[in-house]
Amino acid sequence: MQNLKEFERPQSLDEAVEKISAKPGRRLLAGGTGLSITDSKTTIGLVDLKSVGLDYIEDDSDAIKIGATAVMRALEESSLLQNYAGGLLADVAAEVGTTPLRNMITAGGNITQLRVWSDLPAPLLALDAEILVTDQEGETTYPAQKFFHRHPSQLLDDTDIVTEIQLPRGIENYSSSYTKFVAVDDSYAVTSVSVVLDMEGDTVKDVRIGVGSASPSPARCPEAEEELVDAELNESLAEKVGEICRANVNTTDNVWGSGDYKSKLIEKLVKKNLLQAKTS
Amino acid sequence: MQIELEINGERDTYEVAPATRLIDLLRREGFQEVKKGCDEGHCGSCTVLLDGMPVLSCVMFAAQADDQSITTIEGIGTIDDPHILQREFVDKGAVQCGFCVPGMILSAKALLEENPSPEEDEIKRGLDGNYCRCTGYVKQIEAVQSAAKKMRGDA
Ligand SMILES: Cc1cc2nc3c(=O)[nH]c(=O)nc-3n(C[C@H](O)[C@H](O)[C@H](O)COP(=O)(O)OP(=O)(O)OC[C@H]3O[C@@H](n4cnc5c(N)ncnc54)[C@H](O)[C@@H]3O)c2cc1C
Ligand code: FES
Ligand code: FES
Repeated sequence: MQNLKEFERPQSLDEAVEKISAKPGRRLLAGGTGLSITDSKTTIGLVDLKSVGLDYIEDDSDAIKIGATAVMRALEESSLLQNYAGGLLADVAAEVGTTPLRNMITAGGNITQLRVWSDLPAPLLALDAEILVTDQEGETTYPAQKFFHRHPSQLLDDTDIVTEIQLPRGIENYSSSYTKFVAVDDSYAVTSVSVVLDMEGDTVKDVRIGVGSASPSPARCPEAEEELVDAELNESLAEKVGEICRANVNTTDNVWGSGDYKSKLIEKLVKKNLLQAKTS
Repeated sequence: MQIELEINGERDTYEVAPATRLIDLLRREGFQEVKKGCDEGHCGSCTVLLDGMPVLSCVMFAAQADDQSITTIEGIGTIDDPHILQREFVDKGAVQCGFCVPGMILSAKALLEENPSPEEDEIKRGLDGNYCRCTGYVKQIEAVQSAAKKMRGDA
């Protein structure tokens, strides 16, 4: 960051919008865990979001609202999130990085920098979350499917501020199950699978499957989900659905695993998490 | 730019470039007990307490700490008057080369403040950000357990 000369500390969202739009070469700063070790010659100023008042997690009649600068530890410890859809997002946050990193990494920073190791996008896809973005023109709401369809940097301009993640009402009593498959406890996910499930007896009423880190963008498995709805969830169906999901996701190689290995993981983890969500 | 920090109880003003990371400011100002290991957020040797919470000083800008308090290992005890955790680490043989220990004890301190009677799993989780390449973590977990006991006053 040899050309970094300015450090702005806006005290409100309006001021942040103004500061980030004022000059080219300014970038938003949240936890800093990504930016502080990024070498960028084009960044001339940082706009720190710390004091703009986005570090909340609140219950609203139409959604649970997670402010963009809420850190992983706050998500992990939030009773609202622990009691929402089987606690999926609290469980996911608890497995991001290590204890000191969870005090630093923000929800907004984690979904904006859509890297293959970002843990929040896939479960947010499974929860049908919405992402709120503000710029000089005003606020735009993106369904997770759209926000994560391409790399957010292709969707967002440098001056767009992710302000909030909203979790919809109506699925709070669903159960869920999550696996972040890692080589060692605190390393990046080779592949993650999130399952969100609603059952009546043994019959599936609603289900969403989110696969993270296996492909450049997180994926849902719509064909697998269709196969499950109104069917009786048992071991053989879970296995079949795992195979469908495996065929659906275009996995890619990286240093943590080959595409082929990740495909096999998807098959096994989808099966396992479906059966686990059923009994949890 | 100028920032104000309270480091180990003493408030002062520091001149920093916006790109300066917290670890580099601290070491430049003589707080060399803050160790630089990996320099990219993996090993935990640069851990400090920021308003009481463990953070990694190598993956944040110094300016992000403005107006907050920082505790380093030297802020919790001295050679003559060590913190219970420091004493237990020595007594239990939890220190070999010692490079990881400043960060590890600070993580342990934050853990015990929140949870005075942690289970072994909770200790492992509280220290999960602090790599040790010498010991096998066994003695360090024992040291935290016995420090916890002493700090609670039941040993
Ligand atoms: C050692 C290490 C281990 C890690 N382990 C994991 C892991 O297990 N799982 C995982 O998911 N991630 C992990 N991470 C990656 C971490 O998630 C990213 O570094 C992080 O998501 C960045 O978040 P931040 O709040 O620190 O953002 P910053 O570093 O402040 O910003 C990152 C980027 O996002 C932009 N940005 C931030 N907030 C906003 C906003 N509100 N609106 C618009 N743009 C914004 C910034 O401009 C910048 O480009 C790890 C990182 C490190 C260093
Ligand atoms: S030096 Fe900061 S985590 Fe290794
Ligand atoms: S004692 Fe040497 S790294 Fe821990």
